[in-house]
Amino acid sequence: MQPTMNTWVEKFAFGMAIFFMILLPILWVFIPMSLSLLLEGRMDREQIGMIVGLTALLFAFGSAVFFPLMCIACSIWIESSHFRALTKAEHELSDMILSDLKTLPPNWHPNGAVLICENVVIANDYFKALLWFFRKIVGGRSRSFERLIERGRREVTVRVLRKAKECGANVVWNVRYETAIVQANNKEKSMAGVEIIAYGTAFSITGE
Amino acid sequence: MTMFLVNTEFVPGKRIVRVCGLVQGSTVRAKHIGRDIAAGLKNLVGGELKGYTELLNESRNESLRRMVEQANSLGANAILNIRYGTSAITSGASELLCYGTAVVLEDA
Repeated sequence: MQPTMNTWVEKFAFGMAIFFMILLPILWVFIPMSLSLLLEGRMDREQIGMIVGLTALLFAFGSAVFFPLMCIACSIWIESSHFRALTKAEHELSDMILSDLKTLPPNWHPNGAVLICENVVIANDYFKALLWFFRKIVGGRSRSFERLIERGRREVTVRVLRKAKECGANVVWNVRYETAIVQANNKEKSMAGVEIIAYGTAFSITGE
Repeated sequence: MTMFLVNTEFVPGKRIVRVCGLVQGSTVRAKHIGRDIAAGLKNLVGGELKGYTELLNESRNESLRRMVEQANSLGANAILNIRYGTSAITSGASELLCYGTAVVLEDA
């Protein structure tokens, strides 16, 4: 269950991209050619050349300009909507207590102990990785990666609290975080994403 | 036999009778090409890679199960102070480790 993240946006983006890159050029070639063949009986060389040229231009424009712009716009939208959903989920779960202490306070009475472990694998898009390549030349902070890891950490915290609430607990104790890099298969140093794990023990406390 | 699995050094309402020792479970998992292609496409817009999340979740549950098996063979009924660790072995595979202390508990 990932209720804080959106999937229909990606499907919409790819649908639009395929429409502009593939269907529209095909329609621009197929329909005029078939119409002129029906109406005139033949098409002369100039008309065919113009139609093929315009198709190539449309395809080039679609793939070189429209598709990257669409992907960048989608990634910006996905990131900001994820942050909004995280704020909302954290507000809903604000009655749960999260701590990395080892021992419970003496006046608390715990019932039940359940191990909760949640993970998320999160990735940046290709264009931000390209910008990171330029950033590496001069050095300094990379705010896009900082935002990525912050998103992953907050997402996994929300998942731990949600699962603990489902188990009937109100406190998660001895919380630990771990991070691992998921590498892309063909390139050695490039990363496909970051995995963030959070695990802790959930108790239901009475007598606070 | 239901086993207590906790992250803390104690289980409320129970007392440690005997410490059986350190138990651990690990799996080494490699990705497969379908998830790789999907992740490559996902890298165009960014966001969560659900294929990898599920894969790593399954392999972590498997390593937890192996740790519980080892604890059962020692005759324990709880595992305390569980920790997880990950390390990349090659660029295509990673090891998921899960370790804890197996103990025998009884009601305090």
